[in-house]
Amino acid sequence: MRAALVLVLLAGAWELLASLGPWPHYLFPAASDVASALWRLARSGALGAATLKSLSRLGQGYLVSAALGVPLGVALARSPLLRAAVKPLVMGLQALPSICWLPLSLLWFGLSEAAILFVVIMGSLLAVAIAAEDAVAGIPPILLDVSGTLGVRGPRLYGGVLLPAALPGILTGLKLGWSFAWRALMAGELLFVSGGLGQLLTLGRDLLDVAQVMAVMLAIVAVGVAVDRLLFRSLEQRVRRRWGLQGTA
Amino acid sequence: MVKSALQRLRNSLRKRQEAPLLVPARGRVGTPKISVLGVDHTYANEVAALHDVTLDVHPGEFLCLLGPSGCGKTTLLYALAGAFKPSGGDIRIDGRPVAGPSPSRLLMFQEPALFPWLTVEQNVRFALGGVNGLSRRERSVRAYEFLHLVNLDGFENALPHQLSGGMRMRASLARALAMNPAVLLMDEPFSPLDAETRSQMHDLLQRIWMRSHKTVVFVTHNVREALVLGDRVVVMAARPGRILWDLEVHLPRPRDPDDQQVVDLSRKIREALRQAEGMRPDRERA
Repeated sequence: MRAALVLVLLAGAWELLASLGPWPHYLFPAASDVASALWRLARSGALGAATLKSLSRLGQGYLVSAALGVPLGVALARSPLLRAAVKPLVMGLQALPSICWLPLSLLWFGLSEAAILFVVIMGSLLAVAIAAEDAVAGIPPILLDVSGTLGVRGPRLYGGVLLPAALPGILTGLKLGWSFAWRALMAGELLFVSGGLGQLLTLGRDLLDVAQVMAVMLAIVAVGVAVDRLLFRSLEQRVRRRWGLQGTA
Repeated sequence: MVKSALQRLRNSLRKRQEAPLLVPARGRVGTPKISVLGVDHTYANEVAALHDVTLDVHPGEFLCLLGPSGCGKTTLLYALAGAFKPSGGDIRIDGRPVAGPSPSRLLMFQEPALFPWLTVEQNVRFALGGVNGLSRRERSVRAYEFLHLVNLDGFENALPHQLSGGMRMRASLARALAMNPAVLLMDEPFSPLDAETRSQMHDLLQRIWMRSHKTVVFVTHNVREALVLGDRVVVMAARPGRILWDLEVHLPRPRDPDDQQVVDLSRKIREALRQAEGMRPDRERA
């Protein structure tokens, strides 16, 4: 309630600043202009279509990086050889900003859907893998010892003990991977024309429509926050509660 | 005549009273369940954790390995479990050499080691998943049966973190017993519990053991605990880790750590241990 009040005050200050400031109005539109631009985009269907397009790309790329990243992380944690050989490579590539994959991707896949998916996957896969590795390496040794004496091994060990024991950490990694994927996607969409929210942003720039640029930025933030809150926050909380990692409410 | 008969009766009574409660263990006929022969183990830091340890454990025996920290009792237990291979000697269970961990030599740890994301019943059922030839339904029935045995009725669907320490340990015990191991190996499982809960666990374990007569090897540094639980108490000493005495305990069950006889015997053992270790009597009370 109070937070909402502060937000309203901030919007009011923005409105005042925009109308009283010395800068041209077309470069610094008022909050109301941005809101009406947002409404215009939403009503024309452009915003919805672009959001859907971006989300479907993100969904595909993200699924691939989760499906590859988690097993890669588990393998890194369980195999000393793999860890010694591959982990430095993974850590190094993880430090590479995801957009640096774009030139390579364009050369390999051309101006296609695949190119942008590749950037999204490379931007999030390694973060997911590293978090999964940390999570598996951090499993309390007693759980592995007791699995040994109970005769739990092979697929039952991986599916029944390692994955669930590491799940809270893996979820944190998946959340991180999601935000990396989202950033990589926006960067990719900004750089080559292909529909999606990023392109709507570029379009605003080309039309010199600052209100539209700001409106789309707001939409991008909103999508990011919504997924984080609705999907990951609640999932994480449920897992942490079940695992006894926080007080039962 | 009458006088001498009375005298004889009195003598025999006195003799019965003085019948030793603690005697050196005698050899027994029959194949031992566990046979440890001349086992040595040296860790990488050159400490002789075990030196020429020889021990037979008979079927259905409750044996306590007792000793101060560093005497190798836990090392010996883990060698029995197959957690590592000692540098020398031979360990056989039912005549077969120990190779690697196995659910037939089930090890219980100092913590309950339940899987936190599974309910109590699921923990038992998951462990039973490795037992061949059990249907889903049979596993569930067996889980309930053993949870009942440790008085956890009504808590089958609770998560481990919702239980007290003693209840968690009971759940862990139910899981171990449900696996029906040939040998149950216990590594100070009750030491993290408070005295009252520990005493309840002693009661429970004795009751279950008197019914099932499982072969148990129980490691503890607590003399009274060893006397309460064990048919046999094997006392070990450190540097190098070795067996000092192998004693049979002749006390009626169920026993309690506050029984006068237990208290007296435990004092004697502690004093003997101090002398053997060359420690001052005012150091450390077990």
